[in-house]
Amino acid sequence: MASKLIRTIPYEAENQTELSLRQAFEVLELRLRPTFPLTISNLQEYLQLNQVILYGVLGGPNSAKIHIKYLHAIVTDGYCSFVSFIKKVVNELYVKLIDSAKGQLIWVIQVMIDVSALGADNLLVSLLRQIVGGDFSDVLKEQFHLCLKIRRDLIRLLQDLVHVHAFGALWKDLVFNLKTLITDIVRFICCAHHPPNDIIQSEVIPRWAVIGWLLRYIDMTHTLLDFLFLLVDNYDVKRIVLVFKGSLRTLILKIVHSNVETLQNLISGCPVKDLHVVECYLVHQDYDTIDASFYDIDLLAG
Amino acid sequence: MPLKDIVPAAQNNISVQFIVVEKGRVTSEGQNKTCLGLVADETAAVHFQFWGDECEVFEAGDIVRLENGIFSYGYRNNLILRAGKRGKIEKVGEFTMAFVETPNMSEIRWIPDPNNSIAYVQEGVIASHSRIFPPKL
Repeated sequence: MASKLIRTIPYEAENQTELSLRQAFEVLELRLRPTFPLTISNLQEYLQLNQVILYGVLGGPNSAKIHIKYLHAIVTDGYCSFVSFIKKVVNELYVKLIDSAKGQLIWVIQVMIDVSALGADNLLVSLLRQIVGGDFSDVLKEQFHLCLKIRRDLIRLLQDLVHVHAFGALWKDLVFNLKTLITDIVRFICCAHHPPNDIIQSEVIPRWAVIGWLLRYIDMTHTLLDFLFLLVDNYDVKRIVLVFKGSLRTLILKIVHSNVETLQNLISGCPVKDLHVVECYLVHQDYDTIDASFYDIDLLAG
Repeated sequence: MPLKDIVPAAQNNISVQFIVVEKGRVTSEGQNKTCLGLVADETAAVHFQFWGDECEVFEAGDIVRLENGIFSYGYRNNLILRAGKRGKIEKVGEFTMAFVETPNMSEIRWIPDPNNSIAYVQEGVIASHSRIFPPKL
């Protein structure tokens, strides 16, 4: 009799999912040995063979690679059936699996991802629901640009996990080591994370502050602003009026919608000529000067 | 078989599935441990007697399948369901299962069937719910 893949307590009923895998294995085990017959007479047999291979793989690492090779040889459905059997194991048996079987399960799921098996994405989602232990921080570090596609939920998750040692270290790494990760996060905050207006107006820390914090220096925020002004002047000289109007209006809108409480910190280091116009609005609510400056620039640009 | 359909009989003829709602104290009956519990499905509740190792293994919240159990009068003439020597109980799940506490099949007065002397029929209700494990509100 084939050994069990799951831990059971006394008086616990047979688990039907595990039982069907085990019974299939008992019936068809010979097919997992040379000569590895490739003829399959019907769908029923094909499905059963998928179960047998899965059971063999979960049963131990020794011959798992041989079993998988056999699967590659007989597969006719893009691994769809095989993946659905794995998914059943993940959903119904994961917490009960003996440790060696758990390790094998992770391995075989990786194989399914490598061959782009049909339904591998859903399978991964199911696994992530069940899996509680384990250290994802290394995976996260290696594939951070991929993980960022999870978007803001990932950042939130990292924040929640900051007190877990491995993730705390990762978070520190992100914040204190200027690597490409930082640019990724900044790009994420600028391009992907768009909180609604009421959030922006609230006490929640503003996005630009987070960026400044990520870049470590408030000076960097100034640099960003300098960069903006530089762009205004040089991005497209022929259309400088449009660029200037657009930038200024954005800035004014920020004030009107109370997204930014004060520009004091931002503009303290910026060139006087640009500052003047902003001040006209901020301090004097002087629309005439603003319009006049637009007019000047219009003239200037011809 | 729904719990509401069980009838006292001197034979192991009851196969049902239920959730353990509550367990009482483990007591010794001679050499053996026993423990009374309230079990229920979505049609009825009943008192179940755990025996020996069963007393430790099963807990409130366990979903249990009983095969070939017996529903009969036990100690002090109390009506109880149990696996008995020929029956078997197995844990098949836990936590989520709809159940009712009324009627309680152990709190029903049964009389011999006038048409069939070895069978029992319901005569009346002693209590709407378990008097040993009253509902907790």
